[in-house]
Amino acid sequence: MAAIDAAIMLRRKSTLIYSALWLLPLAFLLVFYFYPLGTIIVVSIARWLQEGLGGWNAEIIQRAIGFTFYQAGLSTLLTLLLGIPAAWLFSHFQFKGKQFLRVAATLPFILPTVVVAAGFNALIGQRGWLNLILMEIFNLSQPPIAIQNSLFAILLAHVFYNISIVIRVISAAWEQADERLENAARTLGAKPARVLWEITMPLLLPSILAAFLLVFLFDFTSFGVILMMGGPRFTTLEVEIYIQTMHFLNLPLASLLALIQLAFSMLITSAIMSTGRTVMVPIMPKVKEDNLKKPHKFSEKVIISAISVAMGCILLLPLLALAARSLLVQESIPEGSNASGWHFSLTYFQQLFNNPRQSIFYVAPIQALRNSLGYALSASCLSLTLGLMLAGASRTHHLFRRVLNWLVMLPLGTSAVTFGLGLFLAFGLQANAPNWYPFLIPLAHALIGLPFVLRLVEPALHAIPQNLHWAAQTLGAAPRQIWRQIDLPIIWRAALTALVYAFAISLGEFGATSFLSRPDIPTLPIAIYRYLNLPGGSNYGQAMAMAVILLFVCAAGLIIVDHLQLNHVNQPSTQEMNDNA
Amino acid sequence: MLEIRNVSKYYDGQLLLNNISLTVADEETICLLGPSGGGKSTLLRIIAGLEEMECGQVFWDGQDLADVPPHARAFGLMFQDYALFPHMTVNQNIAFGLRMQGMDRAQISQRVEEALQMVDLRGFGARKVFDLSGGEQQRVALARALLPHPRLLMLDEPLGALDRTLREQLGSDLRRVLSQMKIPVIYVTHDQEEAFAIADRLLVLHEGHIVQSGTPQQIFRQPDTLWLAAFFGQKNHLPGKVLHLQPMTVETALGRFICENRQKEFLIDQSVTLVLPNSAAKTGGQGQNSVLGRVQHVRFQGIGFMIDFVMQDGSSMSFFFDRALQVGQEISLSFQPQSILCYA
Repeated sequence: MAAIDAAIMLRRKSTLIYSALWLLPLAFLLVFYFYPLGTIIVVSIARWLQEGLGGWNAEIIQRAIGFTFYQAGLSTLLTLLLGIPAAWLFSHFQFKGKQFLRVAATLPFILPTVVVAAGFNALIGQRGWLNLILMEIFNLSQPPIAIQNSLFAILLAHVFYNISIVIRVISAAWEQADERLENAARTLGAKPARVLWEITMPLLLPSILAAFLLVFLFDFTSFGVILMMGGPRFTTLEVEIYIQTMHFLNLPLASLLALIQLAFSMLITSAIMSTGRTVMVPIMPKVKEDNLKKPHKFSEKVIISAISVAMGCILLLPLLALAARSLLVQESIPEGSNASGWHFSLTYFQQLFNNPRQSIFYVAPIQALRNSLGYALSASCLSLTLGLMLAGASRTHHLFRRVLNWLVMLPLGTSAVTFGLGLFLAFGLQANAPNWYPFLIPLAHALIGLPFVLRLVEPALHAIPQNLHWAAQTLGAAPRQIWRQIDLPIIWRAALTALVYAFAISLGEFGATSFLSRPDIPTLPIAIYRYLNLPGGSNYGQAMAMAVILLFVCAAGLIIVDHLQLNHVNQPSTQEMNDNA
Repeated sequence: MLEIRNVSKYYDGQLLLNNISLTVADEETICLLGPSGGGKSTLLRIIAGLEEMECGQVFWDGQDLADVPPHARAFGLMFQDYALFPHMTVNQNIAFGLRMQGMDRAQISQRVEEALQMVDLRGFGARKVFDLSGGEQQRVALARALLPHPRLLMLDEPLGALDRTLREQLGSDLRRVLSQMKIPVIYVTHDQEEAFAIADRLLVLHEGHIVQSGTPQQIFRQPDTLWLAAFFGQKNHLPGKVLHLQPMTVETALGRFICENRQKEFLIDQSVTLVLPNSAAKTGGQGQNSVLGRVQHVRFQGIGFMIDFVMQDGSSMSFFFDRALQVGQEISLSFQPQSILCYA
């Protein structure tokens, strides 16, 4: 039975290679995810054992939990309320400007929170356009609107952020909903309203629920928006963790809050997984345009225009305000003069290259951009490498594929702040912070991006039919050549898309970074956050200028991703090809 | 020469291939015939080294291939759905095998040009493979499998995905190309006519076993088992009991039959099943070897008529005639003793 032995040997050899494929990423997860998480648990339990339950400040905990749920629920409902009509629009009509709106609606998802916060600040903040214009018109000395630092500002930013998810999830389902069912109900005598209530809505319900849960999760774990838009009065679990750690160094309380946060978000994540959805990668699907009609009736045109304009305002005004605020400089106006005194200037951008003595960093702000680009590049490459390894391993191990889904979704269910706290406790507390401490930032970013990378890369890899590999093998291709000649050329779009996403995520990451960044090596979002909170027009303008740079890099990424998708549509999958044969 | 010995393979806990052994001589074309899902494709993949087997060995010219990975075996395999690389052009697909051999570019492009000519696809080289029709894809797949000069060629239902007219045309092209190749060929199909047309030797695979092997004529005229007879369309089965052995006489519900076409020995009183061949019935006759049937249905089949009868005992049988009969007509049918098959 020498042949059987040989076959077993061969199997062992390939098993070993594949083991390395998943053992390496697993070790990475173990050291940089599970170990920090364990540290959080240990820190909070140690305190509990020492002082018992009485040692906690119950009021802070209760208030934080209560407000977290309150704002998340409210934000999610508001997002659905605005998103569902938009989803209807996208799934039923073809109209001018749709392509533009489609991209505009996708943009927020890869926009960093600091950019969004800066945008809304430039629009409705104390020093924002709305206040400036009103002050000008009514000659006021104080800004009349105080939306900033209110619940309303938080809700607005959350709607801005998540409306694209609602549109995507629900319009995809709406489009696939069989129109014949509605027609059948009509011929059976149901009025349009009854059809909507008894046929359309029940068919859409699963996707509405899925959208609700996804948006709720993002609102629940939202950190940057609340910190920057809500101001000191509004503290969610996330913000409280940050404050307890960074301001009071109350690590046990911060750890406990992180555990509570983790438990809730895991609950929501598993609810999402049980609806059959995994991570959202918000690429707007290119729809089959044949089901869409152009608006004909006057009422349709009015409704469509209204929804489009409303969407355009929500999505674009903050960004336009941001851009304008970074490019227009206010001159010092002589007393009594009525001239508005604004002129176009690149001053704020030029100032980014200076390193003023009183700078809160020791470097010129532009250095933050360089840091961020470097971090993002290494984080995205690491993320893609890990993702490809895991996806490659899961192709041969079916059980592993199921485990993998859960294993990698864990980082998704973990908020960035919890992440940051864990890494801070595990690696940052040692007496003299080690030299490699700044490298934690790209590692954390890589982990945060990993679920997204996998979501893109894994299905692409699995979609490659087995017989393409077989064909290549019988034609003399060794495993490495198969990877280079078959797999990589087929999945490169997905891989590049994943890389861009991981890059954008890292570039804008704020929550975990705020725990890990060192003053002398700031990232761009951290720098923007600091400058926004500083007094003085120049600092404000520079924050805006940095946000604009971030905005442009992310928008460029989105355009690349969109382009990759666009070309992809023209190329039928192998499956389709074989069906035609 | 290819030889496989005692190959067994389980699939989902069931024995898909049960102790299969076969050889393919140099320049021989064998055809594996059997119903779909019977493990034929799996056997090809095992020979190619793409799939592992529970036990068994594959030899090439006496060398055990257990340690030879698929890409080093130089066995060509053409897949049922062609498995063309979707991200490559026609040229790139065909050239793939030569590139893996490390041949230089100029030589490759010359050889690819020749291959395109061989399969009638000149000028198609720069096309994307998904712009091709099914028949064109089939020819690209054939050229791709042939160009690296494999020492064995395996074809998995190469005409299976094509419609009937295309199948006949490409089938004859395929025979022409294969006969020029002078290499052993294993051809897998579930279609008898295709198998008859192409095979030097036919192997019928059923429930994991090779149930019969031989020339197409041998197998068709004298199938070894009742299942094989039915597989080749002989469905006029008639149960009975052996009455005499010399000459072999069988008593049935439709009368006595003498059959001289015996594969094996039978015992007196043994239960047997006779197969009345559907193409060898003559009208008229009485007594032994003749039956009475009423015409129930007449189906025109181009070169003749398939006529369904209700027999005296109420069973149904079908026979082939070169002329139509009238529905409702009672007719006596008789059979030559040599044409009746008898199975235990």
